[in-house]
Amino acid sequence: MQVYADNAATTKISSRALQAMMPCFEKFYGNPSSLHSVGQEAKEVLDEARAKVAACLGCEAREIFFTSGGSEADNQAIRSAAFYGAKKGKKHIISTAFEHHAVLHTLKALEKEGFEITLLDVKEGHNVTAQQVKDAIREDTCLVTCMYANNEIGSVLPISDIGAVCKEAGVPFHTDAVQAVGHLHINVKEQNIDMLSLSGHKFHGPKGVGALYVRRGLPLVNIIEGGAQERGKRGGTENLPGIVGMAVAMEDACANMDQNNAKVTAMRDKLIAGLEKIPHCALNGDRENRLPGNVSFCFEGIEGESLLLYLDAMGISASSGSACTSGSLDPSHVLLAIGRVHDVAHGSLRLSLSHENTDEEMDHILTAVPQVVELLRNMSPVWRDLQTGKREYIL
Amino acid sequence: MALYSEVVMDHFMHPRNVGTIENADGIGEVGNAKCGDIMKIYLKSKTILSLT
Repeated sequence: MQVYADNAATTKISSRALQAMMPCFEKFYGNPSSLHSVGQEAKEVLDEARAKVAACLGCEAREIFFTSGGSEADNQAIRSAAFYGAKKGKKHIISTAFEHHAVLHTLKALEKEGFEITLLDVKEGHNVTAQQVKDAIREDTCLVTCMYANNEIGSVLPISDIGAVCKEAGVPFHTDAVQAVGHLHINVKEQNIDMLSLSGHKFHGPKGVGALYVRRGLPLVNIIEGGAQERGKRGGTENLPGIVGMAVAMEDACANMDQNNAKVTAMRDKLIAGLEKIPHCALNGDRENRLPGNVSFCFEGIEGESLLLYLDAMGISASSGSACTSGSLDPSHVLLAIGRVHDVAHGSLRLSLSHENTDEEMDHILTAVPQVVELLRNMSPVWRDLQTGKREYIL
Repeated sequence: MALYSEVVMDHFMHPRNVGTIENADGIGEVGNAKCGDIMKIYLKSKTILSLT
């Protein structure tokens, strides 16, 4: 049995999205910037896609800027707020310790350019509170950027509350919603979100395309200089097939959200309940406020990469916060940020589900994971030391 | 998975010489649990040669 349980990394494109893309290659191949009718037809298709994306977020079409993906959108949002903040002498940015690297590394670069960055602690409940944001806001804060939901451990942040706090303080609020769009109900106006990043391939759309929502009136700086595309804020001929595929996938994900989430949440809870029976393990992430498809655990005494390789041999595609293959000895910054020590953080497993998974697949996972954990523990010197009392259990 | 060679994967999926030796003549440990990789090697020799 083949089980794809790495949907937080990327999803399989939906057949409806794929079908919608095909005419963009052969029929609507014109350049939306061209004056002739072939170009203008493509422009109409582009406008239609923009309207669909805007409708899913509860904003106006002209507040949507298409990008190459979530990372570019994050970069542009943060760089824009920083640039216009600095103009007013405001060079303080608030974020969280478990953001995606697209956010963290942009902030690190800004730190070198003289900005002061406050990263909110996420140890308590594996989440942040709006109060933490409120307490961190200063006179010179030019941006609060908090992810909507965490990609590794699935915690869903109190975005509406943070939005309210930011609105009251008059500080622009950006959220990296790459893991949330298409999976959680979002309304940028009601939630007081000023900027929001999203990526097409996290909800069964194509890769290489994303969008940035920017509240009307908030100025942007360009990351990609070029032509007048995207209201002059993002140069380059529009990736029309990608944009159309993303818009259709997003429309479907939003229309079927409640139905999909009911199914996915039930599978998630079944996995969590089953895997928690494994001794000396711990669930990562906020148990209550959690992405419907996220299951994340740390297992003591084993190493995540070995776990993944064995699961792969058993037909299961999963992910881990272990970083052996990336050449770094440090485990995931997310697991360290929630307080997992190195020894335990290396033994992590993330299973991320989609509505395309089945209950039979969950049964297969629930058979395979405990078997592999036991097998690996039986050959682990660390596990032996734990069992003989030479080393103390952490979990 | 093409991340590792066939030989490495074969040893990984079918581990040889795995376990512990009681009353080993020598035990060596390499790696660190903090880095996620650790190996313990047990030696038992029929004849112990003194190197001094």
